[in-house]
Amino acid sequence: MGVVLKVRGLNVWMGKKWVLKDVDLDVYRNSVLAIMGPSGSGKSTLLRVLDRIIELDPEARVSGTVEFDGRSIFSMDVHKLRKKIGMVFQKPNPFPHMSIYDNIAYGVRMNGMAKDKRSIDDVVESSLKKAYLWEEVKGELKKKAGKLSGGQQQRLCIARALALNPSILLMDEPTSMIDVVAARKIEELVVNLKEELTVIIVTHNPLQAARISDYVAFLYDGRMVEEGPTKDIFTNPKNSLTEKYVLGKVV
Amino acid sequence: MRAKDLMLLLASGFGTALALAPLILILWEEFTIGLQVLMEKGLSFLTEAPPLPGGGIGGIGTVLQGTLVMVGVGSLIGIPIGFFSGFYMYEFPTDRLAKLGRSLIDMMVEFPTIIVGVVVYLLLVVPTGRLSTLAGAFSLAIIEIPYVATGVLSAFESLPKDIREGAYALGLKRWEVMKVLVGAAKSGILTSILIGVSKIVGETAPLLFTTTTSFNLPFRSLLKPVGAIPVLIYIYAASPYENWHLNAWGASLVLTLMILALYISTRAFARR
Ligand SMILES: Nc1ncnc2c1ncn2[C@@H]1O[C@H](COP(=O)(O)OP(=O)(O)OP(=O)(O)O)[C@@H](O)[C@H]1O
Ligand SMILES: [Mg+2]
Repeated sequence: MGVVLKVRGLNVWMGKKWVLKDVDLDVYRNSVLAIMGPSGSGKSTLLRVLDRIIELDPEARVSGTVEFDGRSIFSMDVHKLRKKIGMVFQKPNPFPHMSIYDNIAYGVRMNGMAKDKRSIDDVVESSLKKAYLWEEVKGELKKKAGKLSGGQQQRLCIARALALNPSILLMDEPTSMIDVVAARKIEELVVNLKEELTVIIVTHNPLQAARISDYVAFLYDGRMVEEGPTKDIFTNPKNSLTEKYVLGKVV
Repeated sequence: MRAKDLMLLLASGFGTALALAPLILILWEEFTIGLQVLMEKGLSFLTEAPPLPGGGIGGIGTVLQGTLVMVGVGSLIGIPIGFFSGFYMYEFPTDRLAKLGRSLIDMMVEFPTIIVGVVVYLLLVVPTGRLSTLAGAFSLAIIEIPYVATGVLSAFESLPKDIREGAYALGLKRWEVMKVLVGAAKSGILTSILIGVSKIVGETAPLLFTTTTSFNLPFRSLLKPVGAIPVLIYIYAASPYENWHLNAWGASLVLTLMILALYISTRAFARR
């Protein structure tokens, strides 16, 4: 399994605050990487660097290298990069005024991935299926996205990202604001997605990480404290902080 | 405690009544007299030219044209400029120009509109040597811009930040993201546009400097002046002629109804 993302010496400042400190990370193709760490340790910031969404924040300063399939993400066209590296946010953020259908179709059309109605229909259906939402909404694709439940909205956001056929899907605590049943569906689909892409998921839940991830990376105060196969991290953590936060044990 | 509550209730009730009384009186007067005028003249009040001193009631045909054209052209200029400055201030918050805009715009809303009239007079009327419909429309546009811009800015800012980021995360270009945000903030944007239009429909002061008080002239071209309803009310109400007073009452009612219609549509949009 090759390395799809290679992060070296990554430093991020948000205004005066040094948020990520010399972070190195390898992400393996067709695997699920769980990023863990206490609140404020820089997990979201790390994800936001990877698809360069962080550049929307005028406060942010980034240095270091991030290679995606051997190319620096900073020299790529940012729109193409974001198409290849999708993002699902902590709070479900579908376009509330658009229909379920249009939430998916808009990005597909704008990115020129499909033009005629027939092929857009197909993309909408297949991405909703991949996101485990098709059965619930197939009869009401015209319904406004804002009217869906939180869990459905989150799966719609996953479908919206998948429709662009990304190589990597970034997920920032995607299940923290939705109910357990919907969360389980998302966990299940993440595991299935591994076949076609790479998933990097931020989670606070050790059990979730144990259930779905192949690798765990542990951030603490902006530093990458430990990373490795999930099995090793859970059975034999090298760092006592990892033990405390990843396993939820009070040391 | 009970007694104090009652006192407070009575006092605030009385205060509110006192504050509303003049407004209600004005509206009452306007509706009773204005309605009589409209009943007597019927639809011809909207088409006939304003009367000569001492003649009949006449109508407001010419100044209604003037108001519609100047508000229309003014909005054609003011709404797009207001909209794009609102979007600019939202999308580029750290940009110098946007920062300057943000700090200026509240002041512009409070700016005495008569000064806008003077400025347009100096910039457009003096150099060209003539009053014009365009100069009137232009001064209305300047008054409308800050209302639309602040409204559009706050409509965008009331959207969750996540929606914007979600759109960018799909690889969308700035223009495509803007389309998403405009859709999501649609009712707020329409509301601010309607507020802007309502503000200029009743504007009097800037038009005194930029267009004509010869109210019997119809609208001829953008480069020639035409009267406006609020200016007619201002001049006619202060005149010594009874028939001009009646004409002004009718005109006030028409103007009030126009603003009321705008207000009702604004509320309808805002509620969605
Ligand atoms: N826009 C910003 N301006 C200033 N500081 C910021 C900004 N965004 C994040 N930070 C700071 O960077 C640090 C890391 O934030 P980040 O959101 O990446 O943490 P996190 O690990 O995702 O936390 P959580 O688990 O609570 O989501 C925090 O201390 C936060 O205060
Ligand atoms: Mg976070």
